[in-house]
Amino acid sequence: MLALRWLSALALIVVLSLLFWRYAHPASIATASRRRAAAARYATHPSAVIALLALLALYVIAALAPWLATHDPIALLPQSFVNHPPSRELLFGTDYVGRDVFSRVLFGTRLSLSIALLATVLSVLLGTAYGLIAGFVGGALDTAMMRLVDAFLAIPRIVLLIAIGALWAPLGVTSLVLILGLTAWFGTSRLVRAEVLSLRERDMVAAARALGARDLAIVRRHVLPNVLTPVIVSATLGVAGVIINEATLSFLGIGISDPAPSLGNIIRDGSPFIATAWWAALFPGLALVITAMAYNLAGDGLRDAMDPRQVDR
Amino acid sequence: MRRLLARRLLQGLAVVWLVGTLTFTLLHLAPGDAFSYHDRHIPADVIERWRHIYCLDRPLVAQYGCYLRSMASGNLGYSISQQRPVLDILIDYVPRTIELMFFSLLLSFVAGIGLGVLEARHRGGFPDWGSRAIALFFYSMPDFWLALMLVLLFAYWVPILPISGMEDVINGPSFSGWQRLVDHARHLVLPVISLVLLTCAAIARFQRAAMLDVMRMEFVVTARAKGVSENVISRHHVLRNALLPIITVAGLTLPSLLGGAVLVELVFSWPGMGYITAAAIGNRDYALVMASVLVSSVLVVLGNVAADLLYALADPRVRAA
Amino acid sequence: MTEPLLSVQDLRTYFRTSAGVARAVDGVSFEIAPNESVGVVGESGCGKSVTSLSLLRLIQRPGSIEPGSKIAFEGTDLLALDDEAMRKIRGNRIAMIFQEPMTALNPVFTVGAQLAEVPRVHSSIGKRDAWARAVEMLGTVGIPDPAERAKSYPHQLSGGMRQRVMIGMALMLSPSLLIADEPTTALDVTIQAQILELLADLRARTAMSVLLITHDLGVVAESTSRVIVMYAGEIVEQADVRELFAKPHHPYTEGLMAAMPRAGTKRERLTVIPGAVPSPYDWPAGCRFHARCPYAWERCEREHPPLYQIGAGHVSRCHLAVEPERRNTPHVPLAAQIGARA
Repeated sequence: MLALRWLSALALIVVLSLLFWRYAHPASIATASRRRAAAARYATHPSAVIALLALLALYVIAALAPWLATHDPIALLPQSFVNHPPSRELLFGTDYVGRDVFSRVLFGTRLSLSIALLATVLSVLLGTAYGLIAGFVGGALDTAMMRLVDAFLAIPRIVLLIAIGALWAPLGVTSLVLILGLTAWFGTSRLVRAEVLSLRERDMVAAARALGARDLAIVRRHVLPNVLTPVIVSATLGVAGVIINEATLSFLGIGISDPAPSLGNIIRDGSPFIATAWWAALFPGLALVITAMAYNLAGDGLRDAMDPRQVDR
Repeated sequence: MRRLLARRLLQGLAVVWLVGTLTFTLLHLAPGDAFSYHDRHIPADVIERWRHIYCLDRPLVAQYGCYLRSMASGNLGYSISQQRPVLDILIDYVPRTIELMFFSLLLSFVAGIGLGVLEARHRGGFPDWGSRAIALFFYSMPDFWLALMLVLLFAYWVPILPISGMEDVINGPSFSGWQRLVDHARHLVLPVISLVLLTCAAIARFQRAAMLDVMRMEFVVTARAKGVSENVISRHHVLRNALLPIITVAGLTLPSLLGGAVLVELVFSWPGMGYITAAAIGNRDYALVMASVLVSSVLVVLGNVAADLLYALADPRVRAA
Repeated sequence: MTEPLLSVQDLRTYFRTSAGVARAVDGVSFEIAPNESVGVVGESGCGKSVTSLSLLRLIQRPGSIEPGSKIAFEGTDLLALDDEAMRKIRGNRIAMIFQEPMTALNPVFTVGAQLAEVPRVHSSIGKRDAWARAVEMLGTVGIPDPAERAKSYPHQLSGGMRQRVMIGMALMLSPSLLIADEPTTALDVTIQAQILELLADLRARTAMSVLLITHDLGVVAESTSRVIVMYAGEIVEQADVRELFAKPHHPYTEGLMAAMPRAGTKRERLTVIPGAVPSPYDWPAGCRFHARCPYAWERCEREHPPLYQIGAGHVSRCHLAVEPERRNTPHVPLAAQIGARA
């Protein structure tokens, strides 16, 4: 279990660094200057810059959770500390069995961030592949594939998640990542397909075709780089949604289950005692809102920066 | 117009069929079936009979046919947790969810459109970014947590509104018709506020963008040249045009609104579809959970058809076509 | 001469953007007499549309009319009015029509409602009376079956009909000045003539003045009595229409006329003025036309020409007025040399 988590974290780091490396060393000078311009535009949005800093801080906090935590997130304090209000010792108070909420929120943030990131990477890969295939093959296959996406989009995401969760409960971390990722790619696939369709009409792809380039080469050389921008934006905004969905599942008791802390199940533990011990539900929720807001703001900033036509819309 | 409606309904039907197939697939991928988890005191032969009625003892293709047939005839299965047909349960609970959604959608639109217009008129100024910041704050909030915070606020700190159920269980039976209505409305307030706060942010965002788009159009200059005041321009000329895309947005917000309703119902114990769905999870009541997936997608599809129709009615260019 | 209806003095309309200051209209002065028809011609980007919008104070951020500009209309200083007083003049005393009636009319309201709105915003007239006047006006501008057509939406009318609607809307309150910004550009040639005829007819009947903005000298020749030629945010020549066509003075006016297709002349292709209109962010020093001018000499690069008096009511912003002999030695303009090399 622990090994798996480390493995997935490692995989994530590899994926991200590859992405960043590709981004930092673009193929041409033109793309490089375009990216510099985008970065400059991003920097002009104070809210986006704050969001980026907040995200960095959140990840640092998540990484340092074991050192920042004041207590063991799972250990129970003595009976007299059950539902203890916030104090100098217990910053966010304790929950109904006497666990330190501050430490649980730290570890919960860590778990929520990792799950959301992994699930988003999964959904982006899936959605991109799906959209590429639908857009490139076209015809009846495209229609069928897109109707399927329509069907998925017609089901409220959380209802779908609840249904799946109910069938397979209880979920482990891995299956939670899988389920969240498998239900988050529909929008991305539509986006990618639309981009592919518009690119297919453009001259460079037609020219590459005429020169006898193979489909795969066209996808790699022309389509993927162009699709990257909208996909990154939608992924950034998507993380916020996945974090909220994960919390919702855990709140409903079909996500991460006790005693492991996730932001959702800390709120779940606190909700029956909301009247008397509000801190146990308030603080993890605030952590959730801050995280989701940071991702939403960063995503908005990225969109404005990468697509100047859409500024202020 | 009629052809548009027919085509939309047909498309919607296809989507519902796909969703049905999807739920069928999910059910069969899952470990166990609808009758694997039940109270111990149901005799084995009874369960066998249920399995037979729902074709679970037959090959997969036959099961699929059987499933589609029973869905089409409105037989959505048997709820083991409530010991009665799923359809009966839905007939009891779905209208309450629709009631909640109707008021939420209505208020979300009034609030969202109002905010969007305000933001667009004061673009770049304090009302604009202030309202957008607040909207983003609520937009980034999990539905259930917002509902919980409202419970905390109204139940314990400012106890002026009921926080659970849809009627006063103690005094309710003695209420007259009018009192009962007021009581019901009071119970609606908090669930509706939660959903409105969550939804109107998205609507305001679209409305603002639509207003800014329309404000760039030439007929706005014409209206100014006619001597129409800025207030009337934005309320009359621009808004009428900017409302058209928002009708489509209504259809698009339905899934998330419905999803939000599930959680909000749970927190406020509003006895609707979401409430029983959440209850069904714990009982492994497969039939009920799957039926709620199907029904919610039907609601979404119908909502989208309604939005398309409304759009056609509102836009003279489409109406004529 | 009678008191002018409109007097514009040193009008400057600048757009202050992050890219710098665009001096779209840069010191324009002219007058319009009652019942006079004046044409403003120039290429797109010369500032003629911004001038017309400035007259009604319809310039939106980041544009603004600079202090020191003066617009006097019927004796009132328009730039000194508060917003509400200015609003009461728009559509009432000064009306305006636009190039593309499809986009200039609101697509979700009936044309009758859009006409009826004009008296409704300027007086306390009832809904029914306003509608009746709208129908009457639609008849006046030559729309058949006006009572029925008033219930149509813009997209249900033809382009010519829509422009008639626009004109009717502008004339609802019998303004004393009508500003027509490229009213015929988007229309077929035959419809163009009908619309111009309608405008002339209405002007004769109502004693209003018309300021006609266009890039088409042919339109100006047909329907105005005086012409203002604009280039790079300035007036470069102004004269009586007959005088201008007979004796154009500014090389830019000459260029515009040479670019005009004329019946009866067999020319392989139209002469086009070489180069493009310079950027309003950075007007050239000296004469703003010098790079495109076949007569330009060293003085034109150095010294910004004033408006020289050429004849009675005829002014031209060209140093040829003082060194007329230069006209005998044309050369290839600078812009064409660069263009040929590129």
